[in-house]
Amino acid sequence: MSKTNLRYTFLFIMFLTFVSLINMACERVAESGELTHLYVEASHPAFENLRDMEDKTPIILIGTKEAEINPYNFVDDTGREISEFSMAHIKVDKIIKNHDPISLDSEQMIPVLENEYQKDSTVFHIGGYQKMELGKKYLLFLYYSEHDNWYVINGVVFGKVPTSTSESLLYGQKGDSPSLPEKVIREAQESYKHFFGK
Amino acid sequence: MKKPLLFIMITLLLSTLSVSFAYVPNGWVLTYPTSCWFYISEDTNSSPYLNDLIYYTKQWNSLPELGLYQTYSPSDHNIAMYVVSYDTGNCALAQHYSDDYHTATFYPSWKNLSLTNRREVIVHEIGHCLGLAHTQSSNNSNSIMRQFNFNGKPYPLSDDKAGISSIY
Ligand SMILES: [Zn+2]
Repeated sequence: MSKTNLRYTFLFIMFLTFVSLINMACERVAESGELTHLYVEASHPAFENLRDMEDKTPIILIGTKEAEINPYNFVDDTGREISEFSMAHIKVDKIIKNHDPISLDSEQMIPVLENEYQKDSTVFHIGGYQKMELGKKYLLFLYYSEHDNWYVINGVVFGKVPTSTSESLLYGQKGDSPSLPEKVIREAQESYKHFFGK
Repeated sequence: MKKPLLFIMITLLLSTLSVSFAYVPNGWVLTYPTSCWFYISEDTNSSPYLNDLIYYTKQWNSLPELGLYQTYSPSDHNIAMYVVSYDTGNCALAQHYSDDYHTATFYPSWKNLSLTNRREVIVHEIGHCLGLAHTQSSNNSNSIMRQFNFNGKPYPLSDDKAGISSIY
């Protein structure tokens, strides 16, 4: 083997090591803090843009997450034990729109269902949903479920808009970047930012 | 020596970045795809939809790699289907417990869809249980596994067929 060939072989081995190190680093991210995060495939309503989401949402408000029950356990009407989401307690800061017959007041606490839950050391993100952080403010596009007496985030991942633009939006999104929900959320952050101040 | 090595390096780099332009497998692989048993939890929630759940699950039987059959055994099956009354904002969810056990749950938002879209969601959720993730959006018009919105075609399309034949 010539000197040049030896040098390229060495470079090639270095490159292989580099690629496998990058792969290992990427796989570890999901398991940081001893929790395993899982993306759960979901079908949910989608909105073309902010206007579409506004038109199809009866309640728009700004609220602060004060507490959570994770996972939220209950027995459904057929007797099955359900443990597949968490429940946030949201303090209403400002009501922007309420077309629901049930009235809302600022300072009121409301239960809002979140499509992320933890079981043992596994965190499930339904449709890639990432739950709200305690103490933080969110712009929420909601509807009220009379059957369940809780509020539901419209479009699962679409209707939860962090008032901080640095907060990450979705867990484990594959495909388009930015994805459709990310585009709509960014549009909402821009359009409603005058509500986000004190 | 220089050129082949460069070629191998570029190929490796591309495969690391998982560049693909078609169906996306989700890693769930049935051991016996030609005898996949599905069970529908029959109650007041599911009763109006039983015929559709059976008929549109069996749409996957048009593919030679698959055979889906209904069973009434609540303990021995590969796919369990539930229609529920509590609202989480989802239309439907497919969940993975092991390679040979998945659930598909249908929520109130699914009941509110138009008839064709409701049927499309049934085929779509079963597609997840059979091993398909959401397709890349460039394939939306030829896949039941599109992530958002509908094609108005409640049966497996060309991208889905290619995906299943690559898995089984
Ligand atoms: Zn899906």
